[in-house]
Amino acid sequence: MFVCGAVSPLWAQSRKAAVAPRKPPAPPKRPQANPAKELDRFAKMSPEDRENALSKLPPQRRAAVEQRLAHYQTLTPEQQEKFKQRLEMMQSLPKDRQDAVRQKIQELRALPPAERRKGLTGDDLKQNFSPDEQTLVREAFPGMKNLD
Amino acid sequence: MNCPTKRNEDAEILLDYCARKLAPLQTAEFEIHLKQCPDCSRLVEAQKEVLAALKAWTPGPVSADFDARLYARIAAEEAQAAPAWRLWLRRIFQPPVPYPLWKSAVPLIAACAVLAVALSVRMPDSVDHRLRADKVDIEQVEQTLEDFDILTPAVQAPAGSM
Ligand SMILES: [Zn+2]
Repeated sequence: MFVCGAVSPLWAQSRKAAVAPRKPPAPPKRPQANPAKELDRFAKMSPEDRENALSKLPPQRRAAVEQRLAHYQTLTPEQQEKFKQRLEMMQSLPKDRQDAVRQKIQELRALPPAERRKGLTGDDLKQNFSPDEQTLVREAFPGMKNLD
Repeated sequence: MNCPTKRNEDAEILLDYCARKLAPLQTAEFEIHLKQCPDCSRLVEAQKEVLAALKAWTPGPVSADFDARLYARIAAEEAQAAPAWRLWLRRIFQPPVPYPLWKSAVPLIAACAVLAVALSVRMPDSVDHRLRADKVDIEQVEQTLEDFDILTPAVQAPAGSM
């Protein structure tokens, strides 16, 4: 009897408070689930479930996903963890900076090694990218790390 | 003046008069009516008694063994056939420690209750999560794997290759 008396108004209040604001937000186009967790979930799915999810993609994109997943699954847990940290760092950047980092890495990757090395140590990277962004770019080329 | 007891709208005059909230002119007017109206006189007397009684009433001190006696009485009433949940409640609220000690636990108990409510309110979310676990967002996975492809070199340099 004490419990009911003492708690029910609180209960009603907090329920009201908790329910009211959660109502409307429109479902975002791309749900903001943690990307790394979502990837792990996908990687651990049963073959049927994964097939089910993959079947929503056109063949070309589906092939790319399968190929990259296969690569991801060859990594050791430590390497996967390292990637998740990089991904998190990436996610913390504004959308346009994420795109700038992606573009820079792809640019550098397309260059012959000597040019690539120059690009990784050059002024463009230092002047146009934040320290975090530079880290993301440099870590995409581990073989180049000790060469400058 | 019309008798306030005859019309609901005027009943307030009576209450306001007793609470001494009536304007001086209205007070004078009502007192004239009061002298010749037994109904109003009776009501005013009754109302004054109520107000006086309320004013005079002060809550008496709670005896030192109030809690003990209360619990003893509850126990006596429930002794015959107490359901399990009542015994459980009693164990919580009637522990072998003095009242002030378990009283200090009340905020904690309240906090736990609020937490429990918060958790139950959040339940739709966890249900959503379980659904999403079954149906992974393949487009997000695709984007993440694209980032994986970009952030992680396609061919891992074997250790010691440098
Ligand atoms: Zn009257």
